[in-house]
Amino acid sequence: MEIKESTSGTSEVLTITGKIDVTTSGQLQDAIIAGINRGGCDFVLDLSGADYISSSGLRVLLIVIKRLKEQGGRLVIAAASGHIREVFDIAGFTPLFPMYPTIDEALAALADTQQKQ
Amino acid sequence: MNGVLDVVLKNDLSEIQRLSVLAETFSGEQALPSSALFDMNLVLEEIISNVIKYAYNDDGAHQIMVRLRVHGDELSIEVEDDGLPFNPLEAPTPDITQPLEERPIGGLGLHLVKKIMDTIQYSRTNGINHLVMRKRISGQ
Repeated sequence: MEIKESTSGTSEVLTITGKIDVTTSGQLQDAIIAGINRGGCDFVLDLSGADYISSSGLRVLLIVIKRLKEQGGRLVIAAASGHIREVFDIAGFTPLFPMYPTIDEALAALADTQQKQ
Repeated sequence: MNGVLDVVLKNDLSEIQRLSVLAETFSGEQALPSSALFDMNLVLEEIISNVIKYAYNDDGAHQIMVRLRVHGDELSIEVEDDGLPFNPLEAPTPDITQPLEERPIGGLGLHLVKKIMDTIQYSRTNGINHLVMRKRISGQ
């Protein structure tokens, strides 16, 4: 798994390539927590290059979304494959993580709700 | 489609990546749809990582036997380990409708397995846990 980090406006974008599994999910947790510690508040997880997620990845997402929510932050998902969306559905994660077809739409949604806040 | 792949794993989490590569090759040979490969990898990771993390109360080396079988439109996944007795069918079902604040961390792996596979059978014989999971292959 590879993680590329970038910023767009006030949002941090983490682009994942490869598998989010029991051997790699710790890297994802470290990357998001590092972003939070840098003062990041809104995150887009770009899964356009991710082809797999297991419960180990879901566990990490639940840990970070709980922490973000305490701090008034948000994490949304962009460009998840059908297989990954199905795992989110089975795990009951779909209501917890807003999903958008593209990064641009995810960023626009975050910016839009920021303006309304 | 008919074929069998037997793999012997060590009780080391890095073995899951090796198994994933072997499963992908097997899936290609059997011309399985991408959904079947995804499900197979997910189920294997959830079951085997559980065994490696929780089944052994010693630091010794153990072997975990995996058999993947395709017969017609059915995929079966068999896993045998010599760890502590553990019946996944008796694992508590998580409440996946809880609000975020009340969601516990963890406990989703076996839930995914139960939802993905059509049937799961567990037995324990002569100190060996034996799990057989089956699913009808369909779609892409």
